[in-house]
Amino acid sequence: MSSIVSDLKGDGSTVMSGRKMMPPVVRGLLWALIAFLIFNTLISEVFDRMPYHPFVTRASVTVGWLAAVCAWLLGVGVWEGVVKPAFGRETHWETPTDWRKYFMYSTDHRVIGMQYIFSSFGGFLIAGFAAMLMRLELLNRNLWVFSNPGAYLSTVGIHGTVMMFSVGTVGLVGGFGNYLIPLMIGSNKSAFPRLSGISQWLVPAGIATVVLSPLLGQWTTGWRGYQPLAGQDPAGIVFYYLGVFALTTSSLMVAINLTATILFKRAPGLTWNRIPMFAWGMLTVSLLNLIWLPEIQMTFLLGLLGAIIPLPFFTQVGSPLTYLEVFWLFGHPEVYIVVVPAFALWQEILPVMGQKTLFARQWGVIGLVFVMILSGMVWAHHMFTNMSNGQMLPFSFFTEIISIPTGFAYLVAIGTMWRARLRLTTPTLLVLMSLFNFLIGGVTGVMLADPVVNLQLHDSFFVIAHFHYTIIGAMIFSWFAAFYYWLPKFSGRMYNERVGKTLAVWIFIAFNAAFFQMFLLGLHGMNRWVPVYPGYLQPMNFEVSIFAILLGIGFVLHLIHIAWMWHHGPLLNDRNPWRSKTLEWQAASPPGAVNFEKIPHVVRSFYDYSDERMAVEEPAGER
Amino acid sequence: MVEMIGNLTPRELRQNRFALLLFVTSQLVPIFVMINIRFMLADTYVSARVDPLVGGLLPTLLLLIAGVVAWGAVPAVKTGTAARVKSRLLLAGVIGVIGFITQIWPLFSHAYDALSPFGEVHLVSVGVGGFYTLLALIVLWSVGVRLGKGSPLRAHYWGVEATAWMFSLNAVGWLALYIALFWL
Repeated sequence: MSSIVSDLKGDGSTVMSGRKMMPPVVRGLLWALIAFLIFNTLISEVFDRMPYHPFVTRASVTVGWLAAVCAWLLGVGVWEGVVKPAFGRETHWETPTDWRKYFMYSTDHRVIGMQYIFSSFGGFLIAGFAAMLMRLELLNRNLWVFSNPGAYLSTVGIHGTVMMFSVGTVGLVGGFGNYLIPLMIGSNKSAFPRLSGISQWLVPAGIATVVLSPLLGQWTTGWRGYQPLAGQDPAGIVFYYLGVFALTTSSLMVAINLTATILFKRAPGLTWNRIPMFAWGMLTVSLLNLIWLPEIQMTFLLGLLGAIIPLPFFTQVGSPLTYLEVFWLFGHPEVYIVVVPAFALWQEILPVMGQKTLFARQWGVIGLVFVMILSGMVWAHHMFTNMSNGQMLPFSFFTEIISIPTGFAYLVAIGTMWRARLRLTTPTLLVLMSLFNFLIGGVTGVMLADPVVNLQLHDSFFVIAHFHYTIIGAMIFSWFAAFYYWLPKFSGRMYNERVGKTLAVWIFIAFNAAFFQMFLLGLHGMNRWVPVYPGYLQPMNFEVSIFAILLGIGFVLHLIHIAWMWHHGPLLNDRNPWRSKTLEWQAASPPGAVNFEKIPHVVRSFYDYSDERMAVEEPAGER
Repeated sequence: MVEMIGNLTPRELRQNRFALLLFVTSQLVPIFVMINIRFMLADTYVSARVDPLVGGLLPTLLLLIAGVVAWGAVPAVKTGTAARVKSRLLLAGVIGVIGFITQIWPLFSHAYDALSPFGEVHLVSVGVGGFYTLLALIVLWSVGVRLGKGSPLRAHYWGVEATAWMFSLNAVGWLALYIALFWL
C-alpha cells in the first residue's frame, strides 16, 4: 500500500491511518444515492411542490443530480484528497498498488490516464450498442425493434451524445493525453494532479446520466439538443443537458492540466521546436476545449433553465436559428477537437515505423494550429438551409479553406512515408486506414461546404456517412492505432501481430462497406432521424446494417485481443520495441514507481532518424 | 539554489498563475455568450421592478472594492504580517458576501412568468454572476480556514494571491455584464 495524497500545507505529511473503509466507488455510489434522495425530496416535497405532487420533477431531479454528482466525487476520494486538505485538515487516504487503484481517486497521471481509457471504452461500448440497435431497426423498413419513433430517436441521441462527449472528446485526450504527455515531455507528474484526479470521475457520472435519460422521458433532438424542438419533448432532455455538462466539465479540467503540463513541466532542452507532435496535438485541442466547451455549457444551461424553470429562451423567440447559431459555434470546432489528436498521431507513429525523419515537421505544427483557428469560422455551413446566399458564401469559403491546413497533415505523412522502409505493423496499418478514411470524409466535407450540394443533401444519410468517415474513420482508427502502438508501454507485453492486422482489415472492410453505402443511400433520398423509410431503400439499408454489425463485432474483437495480450502477450525483450526516439520509450515499459529516476536532458529532435543518435543525453539531474 | 515563494518555486508559481488565468479566461466565454446572445434573443430587458441600485450598481461597486481589498493581503503575506493578511481577507469576505446578496437579490424579486421571453438574459446573467461570486467566496473561505491552522504564513502565499485573482476577475466579469444589462 502506498499513500499518494499530500496536504496543501506543502510539507507532504500524510497520515496513514490503516483504518478499514468501504471501496471508494461503492461509497461514491452510496453517497450519491443518499444525496439524490435528500435533495430531490427537499425540492419536490418542500420547496417546489407541484400539483399532484410528483416525487420527481424537472427541478427536483436537477438539484438532486447536482448533489448526487458532488457526493459521488467526494465518495470516490475527493473528500480526503482535495476538500479536507483545502481546509487545512489532515488526510487519511491510502492507495493500493494493485488493480483497486483504478477504482478510486488518484493523483498518478498514469492511473488517471488508464481510468479515462476505461471510461471512454465503456462509453464506446454503450454507444456502440445503441448504434447496433439503430442499425437493427433500419434493417427493416417498418418499426420492429422500437415500439415508437421517439424511442428510436432517444437511442440516436444517446449514441451521438455518448460517442461525442465521452469517446471522441475524451478517448485520446483524457486517456492517452493524461498517461503519455508527462512521459513524452520528460516529467514525473502532470501540473495539477488533483484537478486531473477529480475530472476523471465526472466521465462515468456523465455517461450514466445520458444513458439513464429515458427514465425521465424520450428526447428526440439527437446529440445536438436542438431547440425549440427540445422544448416539446418530455423531461429526458434534462439528463442530456446534465450529462453533457459533467462530461464537458471533465474535458475542460483536462485541457487546463495538459496545457499547463506541456508549458511548464518540460524536461531541460525540450524547447518549443522539439515538442512531440502528440503533445502539439494535445495543446491545440486543449485550447479548442478551453474556448468552446464553456460556450456550449452556457448554451445548454439556457436550454436547461428553459426546461426546469421555465425561462423560454428558445421557444418563444420563434426562430430555430437562435439555438443553431450558438450550438454550431461549438459544434464544428468539436469535430476538430475529436480529429486533431488523430492528425498528431499520424505524425507520431509514421516516422517511428519508417525509421525516417519526420517530413516538414514545422508545417505539421502549423497545420494543427491553423485547423484550430479556422475551425471557429465555419459553423454556419450547418445551417445553409436557413440562410441567404450572401450569408452562405463566407462560411462556404472558410470551410473549403480549412482543407489546406488539413492537407498539411497529409503532406507531412506522405512525405515521411516517401521512400521509407515502412514496417507494416498493426499501428501502421491502422494509421494508413485512418489517412484513407479521413480523405473520404474530408473530400465529402468540401463537397458539403458547397451550398448547391449542401442544400440538396442536408439532413440526408450522405451527411451521416461524411461525419462518420471523419469521426470513426479518422479518430477511432487512430485510437486503435494508438492502443497497439503504446500497448507495450502500458503493459510491457506485445500483442499478436497477425491477429492485430487481421482485425484491422476486418474493421476497415466493414467500416467502408457500411458507410460508403450510406453516401449512396443519402444520394437516393434516405433521410436522417427516421426509423421507417420507403421500400426501395431497404436492400441497401439491409446491407449497411449487416456490415455495421460486423464492424461492431470487429471493434469488440479488437478490445478482447488488446485486453488478452495486456495480460498474456509475450513479454518485451526491449523496453523500446519500435526503436522510437521520443521520451516515453526511454522510460521502463511499463514505467516503474516514477517515470524517470533522473530527468532526461533533450539535445536534439525526437523525429530525426538520419542517424542512430538518441534525442537525450545523460540525465541532467532531478528537477 | 532557487528562492522559494511560500512552498513554491518561481516556476511553479508562474505555472499556477498561468493555469488560474487560463481557467478564468475560459470562464469569460459564458459571460461573452450572455452579452452577445441578446442580439439573437429578446435584448437585455430588465424588469422595471428591479432596483437598478440594489441589483446593479451596488454589487458592482462592492465586488470591485472587495477585489482591491483582497489584493491588499498579498504584499502582507510577503512581509509576514499575519494580522494584516487576516484582516484584509476578512474585510474582502464581508464585502464580498454583501455584494453577493445584493447581486442575486433580483432572483428573488422576479416573477417567473413562462409566457414572457423578456428578462431572461438579465436573470441568467445574475445567476451566472452569482455563481462565480460564490466560487470566489469559497476560495477565500478555504484559504481563511487554512490560515487559521497555524502553519507558516508564507506557505499560503499562492492561496492568498489566487483569492485576489478570483475576486478581481469575477468583479471584472460582472462589471461587463452590468454594463451590458443596464447601460448598452
